Amino acid sequence: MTRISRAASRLALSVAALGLFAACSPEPTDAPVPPAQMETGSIEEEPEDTGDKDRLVFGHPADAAKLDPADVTDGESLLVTWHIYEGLTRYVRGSTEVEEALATSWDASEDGLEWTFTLRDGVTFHDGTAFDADAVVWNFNRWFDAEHPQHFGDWDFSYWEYMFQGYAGDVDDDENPKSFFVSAEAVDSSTVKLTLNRASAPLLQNLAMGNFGFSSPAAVEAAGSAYGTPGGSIIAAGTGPYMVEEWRKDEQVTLLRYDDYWGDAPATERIEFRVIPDGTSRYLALANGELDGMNQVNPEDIEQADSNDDVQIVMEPANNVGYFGFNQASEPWDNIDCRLAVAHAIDKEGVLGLYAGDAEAATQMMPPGLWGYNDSIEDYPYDLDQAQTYLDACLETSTMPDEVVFYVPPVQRFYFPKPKELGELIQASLAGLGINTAIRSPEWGTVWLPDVREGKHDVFLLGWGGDNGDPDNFLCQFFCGGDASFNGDGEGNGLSPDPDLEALLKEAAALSDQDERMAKYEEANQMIHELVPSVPLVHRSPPLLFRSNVNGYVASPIQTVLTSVTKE
Amino acid sequence: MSDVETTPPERDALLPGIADLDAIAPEAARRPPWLDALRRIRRSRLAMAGLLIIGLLGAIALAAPAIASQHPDDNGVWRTTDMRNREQTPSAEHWMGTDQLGRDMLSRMVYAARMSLLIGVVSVSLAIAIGTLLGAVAGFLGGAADMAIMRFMDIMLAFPSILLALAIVVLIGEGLINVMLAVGIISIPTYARIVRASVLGEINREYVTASRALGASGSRILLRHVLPNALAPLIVAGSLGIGSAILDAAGLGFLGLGAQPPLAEWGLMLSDTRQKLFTAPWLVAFPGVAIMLTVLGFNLLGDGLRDVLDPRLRGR
Repeated sequence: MTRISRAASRLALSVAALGLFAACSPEPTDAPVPPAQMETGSIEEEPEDTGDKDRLVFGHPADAAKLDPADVTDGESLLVTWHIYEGLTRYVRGSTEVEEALATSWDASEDGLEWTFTLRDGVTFHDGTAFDADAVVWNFNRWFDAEHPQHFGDWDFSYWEYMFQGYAGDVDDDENPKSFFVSAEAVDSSTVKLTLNRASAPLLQNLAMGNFGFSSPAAVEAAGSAYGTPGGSIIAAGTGPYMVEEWRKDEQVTLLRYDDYWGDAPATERIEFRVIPDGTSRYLALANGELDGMNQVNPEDIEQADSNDDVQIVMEPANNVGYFGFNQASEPWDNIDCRLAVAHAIDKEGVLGLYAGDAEAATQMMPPGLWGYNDSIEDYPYDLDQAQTYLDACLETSTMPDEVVFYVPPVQRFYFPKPKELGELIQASLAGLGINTAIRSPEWGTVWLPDVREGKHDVFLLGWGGDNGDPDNFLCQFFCGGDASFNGDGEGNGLSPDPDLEALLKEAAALSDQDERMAKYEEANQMIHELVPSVPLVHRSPPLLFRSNVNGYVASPIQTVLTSVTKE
Repeated sequence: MSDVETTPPERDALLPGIADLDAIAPEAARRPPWLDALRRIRRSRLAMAGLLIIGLLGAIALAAPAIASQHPDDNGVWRTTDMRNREQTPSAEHWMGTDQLGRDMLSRMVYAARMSLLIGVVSVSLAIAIGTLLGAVAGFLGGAADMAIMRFMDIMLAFPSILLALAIVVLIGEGLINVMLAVGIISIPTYARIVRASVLGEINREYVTASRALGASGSRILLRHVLPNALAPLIVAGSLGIGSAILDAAGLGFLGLGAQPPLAEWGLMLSDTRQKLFTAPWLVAFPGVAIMLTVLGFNLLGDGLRDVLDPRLRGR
């Protein structure tokens, strides 16, 4: 977003001197609708929504790219497809744990390589065709096999590749298949067997992801490559509680309640996902009653919403972590005393001052809403004397360079809405200890990320947002040595910051018993806390806004699903 | 104007057309020309207002360590962040309040004044040095050299200047020194054109021909006779140029391509705080007004100087 806003802010510079005059009216009023509002086109077309209980209008910043979840990666597409599609498993509402969805039970073989799923009876797709084992197998083949006639896509089914590690026929340097997925077979019409070539504990978590909801084979074959687009003869056909009624590209998607849905029928007949790109316009539309709910709230508008009685703020549990990391391949960060010194010198409560009350201080490298989070960990206190003691101890054996290279993201991340200020703040804290840092913020995609992955930094600020609600997706991502951001061999190859930690994380990922896994991750979090490979800073919650007459929304760290919502 | 050509070049050099004054104010004509110019500057209210603003600013910049209550480290790091006292409204302790990281706004503002003046002066000096060289060479040599240099200048002028500066900064990287370079480079054509025009205006005058006939070398003619004639318009353009250089540098800082945090620079301070327009307006207003006043000061001075130094405008 920065590129565009930077260009736009050129104009703002010339206006900036006028800030003095604008400042004379400190409280912007909610009442007048800015011209931008007119662009939504909804004012003249439709009356306000007040009183219409069967229609829920939800505003979001960008239209769905595609309503074919297997081929999308963006949150705005998934926001819509969560309502249309279902997979074998689903997340328990409000949590990252998984439960039965289109599979009513499952069974794994002893070695974890064969999974047998029993499918729910009496489920039909929105196009009227039956959901059965053949449909499941067809979908798996479509995702897995890049040569499948219906495996077309602008985004190359990238979440399949990411979560299942490859497509049919992909092999690594040792000629082993990249993907752990081997095949899906229909045992009978309501039983499916998945075969893997190595155990994957997060399988059930992965299958609950919005990307792995099932499409009707008949619908996809009929619509061809137009499936999931407004131009398709059938826009989308899943098994979920809502089906697509109308899609006006870049304006809105209208979903209609699916009457033959197998589960509890949703309370609201229609959900309209309306596109209003500008955050403030979106908020004003909500304040006017034109919208019933919205996501992607500007921090400034949260303060406004807080004082508006017609609007309620819902904080979704955080599914991310922003952290300060050490590159242990560079002196003196291999010395734990130096890392501890920094951990005691960063004022996390102060860091929260950069957020609009929508973040909490982090003690661990994964969010509290995730299973495996260790509630007994107590954070390092902010204590400069203690920090100095650790630093003195460290410098007895290690040398601090005159200038520590400190990589700070040049662009906003969800967990770091103000990266530049955060960098300055931490730089000042470290300067207080006598550690001089030089901030580096080169271009994000082409320089910053490659540099950090290759370990060209000494210390850095970065974060991670979770995908599948599995702790492995956080902890192993960081500390299994996938890249050189925390430790490396000096030639760009990644190393784990600690071999014991890596072993523990890999062991946890190979277990299939949920309770055992949870215990392992709690242990891993304790170990990370003691090793200080990084200082976890914040978890930020995405806020949603609803009109005060909207009830029943269940906040979730991993999905925004409106099926339980009612209007008074 | 016939007497101009017979007037000794020394007298005419700094202020072309000064001989006209003889009829009106004979005493004035006897004073050294720079003193005369100074006297007229002092009479120009515009120029004096500009000078006053700039003088004040310069004094603040020089005395920054005495005025400020907080100071940056030698490497520019402000370790005085205090998140518990962030965005405080102006008070007796913090005359301009505190910024988004709890640092004293007044201290940041006065150190930023140093930065802006430095950027303005350095980049304009750079532009004048290179521009004068190119313009003089083009005008003096003429022919293919003139063609090549001036068409290149035309190409540079064809780009919107801030776009060109952006492109240069992207090419050579962000940072304070690179911004001075970029802003300097984009204003080279202005000065090159001024100098070339002056050179062309003088090079065929009879006194030049005369000194050439007396055996003066090319460089002597250029330095002694021709360039002094370009001085007046250069001074005017330069003082106007400092204003726009400061503005361009602030623009680059605002876009995140100029001075990098934690340096205190007005453009950067604006971009850091622009979202606080409604919640903490002073954070936006102070740097905004400072940029405006500084640019205004240099523009007033430039306009005043032009009124004083340009014979065609004199007496209006």
